[in-house]
Amino acid sequence: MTATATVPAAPAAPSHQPLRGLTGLITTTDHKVIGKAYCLTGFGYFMLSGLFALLIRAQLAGPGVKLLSREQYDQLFTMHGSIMMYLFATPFAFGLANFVVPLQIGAPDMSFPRLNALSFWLFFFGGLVMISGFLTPDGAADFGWFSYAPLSTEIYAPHVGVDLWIVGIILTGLGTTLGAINLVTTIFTLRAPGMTMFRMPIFTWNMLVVSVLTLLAFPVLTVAMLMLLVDRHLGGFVFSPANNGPILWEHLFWFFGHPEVYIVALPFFGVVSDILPVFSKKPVFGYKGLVFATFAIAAYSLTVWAHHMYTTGVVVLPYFAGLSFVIAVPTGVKFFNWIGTMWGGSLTFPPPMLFSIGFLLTFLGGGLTGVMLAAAPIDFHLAKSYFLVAHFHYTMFGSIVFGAFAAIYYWWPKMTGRMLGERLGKAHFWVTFIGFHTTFFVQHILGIRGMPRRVASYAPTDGFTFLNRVSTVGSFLLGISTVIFLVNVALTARRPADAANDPWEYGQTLEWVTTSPPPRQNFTALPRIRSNRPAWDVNYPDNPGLGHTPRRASRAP
Amino acid sequence: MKFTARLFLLLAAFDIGAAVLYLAVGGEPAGLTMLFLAAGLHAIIGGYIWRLTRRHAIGPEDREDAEISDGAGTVGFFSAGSVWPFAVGLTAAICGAGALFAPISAVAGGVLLVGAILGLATEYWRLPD
Repeated sequence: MTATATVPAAPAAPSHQPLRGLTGLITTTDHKVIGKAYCLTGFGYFMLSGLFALLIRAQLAGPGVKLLSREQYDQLFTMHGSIMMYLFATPFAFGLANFVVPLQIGAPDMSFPRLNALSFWLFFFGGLVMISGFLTPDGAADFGWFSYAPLSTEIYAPHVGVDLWIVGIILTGLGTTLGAINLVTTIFTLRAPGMTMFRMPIFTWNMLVVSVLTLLAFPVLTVAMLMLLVDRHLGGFVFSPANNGPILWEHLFWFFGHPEVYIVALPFFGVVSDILPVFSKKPVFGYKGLVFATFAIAAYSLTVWAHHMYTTGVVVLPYFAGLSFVIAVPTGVKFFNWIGTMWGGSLTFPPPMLFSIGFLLTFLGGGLTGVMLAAAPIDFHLAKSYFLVAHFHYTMFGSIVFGAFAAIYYWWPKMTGRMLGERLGKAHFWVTFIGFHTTFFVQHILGIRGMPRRVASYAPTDGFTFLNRVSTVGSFLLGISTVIFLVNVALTARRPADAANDPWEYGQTLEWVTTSPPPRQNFTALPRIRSNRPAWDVNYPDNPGLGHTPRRASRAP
Repeated sequence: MKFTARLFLLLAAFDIGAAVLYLAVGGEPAGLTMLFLAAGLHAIIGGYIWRLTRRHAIGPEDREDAEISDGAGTVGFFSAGSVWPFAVGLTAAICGAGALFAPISAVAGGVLLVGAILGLATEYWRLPD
């Protein structure tokens, strides 16, 4: 099939029409369907895991609450962390990328459509294996999402729920790795003519860097988990305390674990970098600075893994403390650029913009406590306390949940053809924002007062009761906010699917020049790409974007 | 693309620098190994792009003044739909979880998994017309 000047290069025509219904879903290789399936499944896990969090907070609402047994409590906080990290944050980010990246670079699909489907199904079935531990007699894994040896060995955790958890992580991790290979290949080989690397949207840049980080980090996790299985069932001694195995486990785990927090955060840095310019009606401020900062964060994220291990007492403190301080600098550059993007802009505040600003404020809080915890003398006191729980949720909830909702509101019309309700969207934001800070701000104070992590209860004399109650009230506000979102989705589904190509009117990146939702191969016509904001150039040709090259006279049609 | 290649090679150099510094301050072998392997992976990506830019003419996606029509033609073969990814995912889960319960379920799952992988690999040995 050849194409004319107005029709983009199209792949070979499919030999048959795509199937509909359940068979169609099972056999699909359409990156948009797979992306939506990823996001939907990930969001389902987010709600399940959020429910676990509510049970945990209900248990901690007062001293001596007996809602959960200690074993159940351990299982719930372990599965809350595991599901949020492995089954919500990572797949949701990759699902968004799956849907958005080919559209942003003008590609008809991902490079390897079947590999893409395989990534999703590995995640889907791996997730089911992971949570199936709850169906076994002794319950699910119960040693924290980082499964420190020897607590995770057959001596202390002999039940099969742990093995299911390990196998689930290996399967989903494999799916994520394959997805990363697919994204790297797609970004390098399927860009539209004129879409040079330095004209790609920041979200696509960040997904490229995230994919490379994934290729570095996930194999380490997979291998560590396989070795743990060998220890548990085949009589291995890799993580045996006799040969310093627990420290080796921590090194391996955190060499995955620290890049992992950037793997789940950087996509949403990209989301915000794409949203802020649209609702500021300005080009992104410091485009190259944002790209270089992403690379710098990726580089440093590989060198700071052992700042999670200060309290083991066997790591080189100055090395990891120093590099952990330095990593705040590229993150600061990003904040500078985001504020610069909004500065002097003509701002509007629909839900995507509100969630983006919620991200900025919340993540900044997590970043600042991160700098505090990078200082070893402070970390020694606070690492095992609720202060760290608060820090972690400020960074992770701040980037992933606020970023995910920003992305959902922003790309919902592109995914479904319908605009999510604005009024309920704003209510959703404010309840989320207030609920989040009510839940987690007081946990800083609880931590400083000495409340330890992972305890199922506390005594009335500890003085933790009031702040815990505040935190529990906040967490139920967060539960309500999700209900508001679901109501919004249900109401929106009844509206006609009539969203314009660019319902936000000032869209800058390429996905806004095609229809909402896009056709099977994404574009019926591509515009000439001359800057980093081709969609803007189509609508506002007098004010072209960065790196604009004028049309050559010799290339007259 | 050349600049992108340099960025990745720079990451590799950074990893080596970090590893050398880590060695100098008394780092342990696991972290050192991982830092050097990270340098290797970055170097593979950077080196691959570098080779591409040297050996091949720059494609329209890397030319600032390319017209959309410059990329016209068949991009490649894209599968319109396939049941095999689903089959591989399902049988991989059966094999992995089955191995935890009995050797026979591991073997059965393994046979199914190999069958599904063969199905995926050979599906387009003959391209549809």
